[in-house]
Amino acid sequence: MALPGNIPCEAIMESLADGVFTVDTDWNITFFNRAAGDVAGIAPAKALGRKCWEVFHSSLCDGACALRACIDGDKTLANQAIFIVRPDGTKVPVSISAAPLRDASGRIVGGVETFRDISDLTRLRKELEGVCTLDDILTKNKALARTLALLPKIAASASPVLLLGESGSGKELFARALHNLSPRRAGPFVAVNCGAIPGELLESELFGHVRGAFTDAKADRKGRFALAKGGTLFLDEVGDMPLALQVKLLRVLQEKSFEPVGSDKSQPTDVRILAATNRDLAAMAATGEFRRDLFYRLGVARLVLPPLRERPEDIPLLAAAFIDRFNLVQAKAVTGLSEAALKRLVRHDYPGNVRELQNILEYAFILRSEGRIGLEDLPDYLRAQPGEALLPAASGTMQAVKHQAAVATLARHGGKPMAACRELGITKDTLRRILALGPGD
Amino acid sequence: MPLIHHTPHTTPCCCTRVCLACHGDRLASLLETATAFRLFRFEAQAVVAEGSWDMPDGGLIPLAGFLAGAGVVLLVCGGATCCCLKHFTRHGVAVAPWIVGEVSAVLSALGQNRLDTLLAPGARPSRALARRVRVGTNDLESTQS
Repeated sequence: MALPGNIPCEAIMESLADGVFTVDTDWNITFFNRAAGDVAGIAPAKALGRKCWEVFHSSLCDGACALRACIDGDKTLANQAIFIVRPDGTKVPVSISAAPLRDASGRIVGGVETFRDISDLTRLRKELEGVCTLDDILTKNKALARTLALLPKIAASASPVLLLGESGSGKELFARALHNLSPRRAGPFVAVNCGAIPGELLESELFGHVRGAFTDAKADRKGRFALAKGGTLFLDEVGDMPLALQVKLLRVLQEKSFEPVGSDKSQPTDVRILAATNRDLAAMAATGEFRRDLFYRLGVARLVLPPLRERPEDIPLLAAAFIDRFNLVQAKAVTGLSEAALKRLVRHDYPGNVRELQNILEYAFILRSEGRIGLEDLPDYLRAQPGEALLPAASGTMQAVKHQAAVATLARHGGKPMAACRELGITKDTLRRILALGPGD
Repeated sequence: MPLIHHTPHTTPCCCTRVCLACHGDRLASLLETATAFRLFRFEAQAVVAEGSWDMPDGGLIPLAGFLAGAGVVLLVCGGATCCCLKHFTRHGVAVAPWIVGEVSAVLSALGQNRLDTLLAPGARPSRALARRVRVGTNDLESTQS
């Protein structure tokens, strides 16, 4: 169906929410609408006349061009998911459709491609599927960045990995990233929390059982090792595993086979083991609470995840990511954190680590649906931190104020001078001098 | 590969190695989808093509090591995310990202110290470009971003 002659086609194109651009047969851009400029991060005027691959930096431009396939094959393409990289360096997932363009005589004179930003859709899908890649682990911390740089190499090997870190520090996130970077990524990722399942049930849960193995075993049941075949088995809280079961796990690691409960037939296993714990496994191995041989077997590669209090530089980054996620999931329009709220968040110790930060912001989202999260939106325990009341209300001499601030900060950090110095932004010598001078008169 | 000669006003050279992240005869649109990494040595009177690598298994992480090992001081490429660039920075290889154009044009611009003229539309000069990448002089040593 043709447009009536008095309706300007260009006005329609400009009104579309989807990006549209056209090229001639030499791949020069001949039209680039406003939405295309918004998604690609380029002003339409700068795009016109340029080669499409110089403007639209997509995952297909170097060898797998969808538009070329449409023009060469005289066919159309719809809803192919790719990504583009904007000039500011951000990667944007987009869905593209393409088709050849013909003149009145039917001759192909170029092509048209439409595209839409599917960032929100992609993030929701990742949330639902629990997919995690390196891009999902956010950090500016040098130690953690070094660990991240090792991840692809560790993922490519078949060795077990032991993830050590406090509760909430992101051990499962790393485990999922390792799985998704590994050659086993097409296989299942099966997680078991060894601390959440009673010891007597854990063996059946891991290895399965055969009918009649125990009173309630009315049918054969596959265990997690069988379910994870071809993929990755993540043993969370492995430090809580009973000693008797540790022996059986060690045998699986060495023999690559296991027997379901009640069966004497060995089954081969094709599973990569990732284990994690928040306990001091080395100390447990020294005291005999954890098998030393299993500790070394599981810890072929050991990754230590620092607690959030040791990487305060990540707090604004993580907070912004959580705010984005909650805005998306809860359809709210929170724009960020107020300066006071951010300061308070940076000063908190986070015994619950990243999970605690997530919970704090989730609470704030209950109270706020738009604008910036303020101090008043944070949980009570954050609004009245110990030591805060000691701070003077800007009274007394400068020496007294400095002394009180130093004492309060030291108290907040359990007397640790380096932590206090980091928060106050002063050197250890300055802190020592302030304390030595005292509050003055 | 043909030798690409400098224009007469090119600054004196000191055998600097430069790598171009390519697709065919042009710079690849994205660093991470480049299909060939072409190595060039800038000499006093000519640019010598020294060879070409495919993207190694494992992607950009091993590539950064290869380039550093080969004495490459500058990687010129198309679009790139910060995540892609950091591997090269870590190995001390300066990167001039968001450059577009055919290989011959890029080499010519490098020789004339005018890589900024080939900046992709919408892109802002990188730190390497802002510090005036000059393959013909020792200045390059200070351009690692």
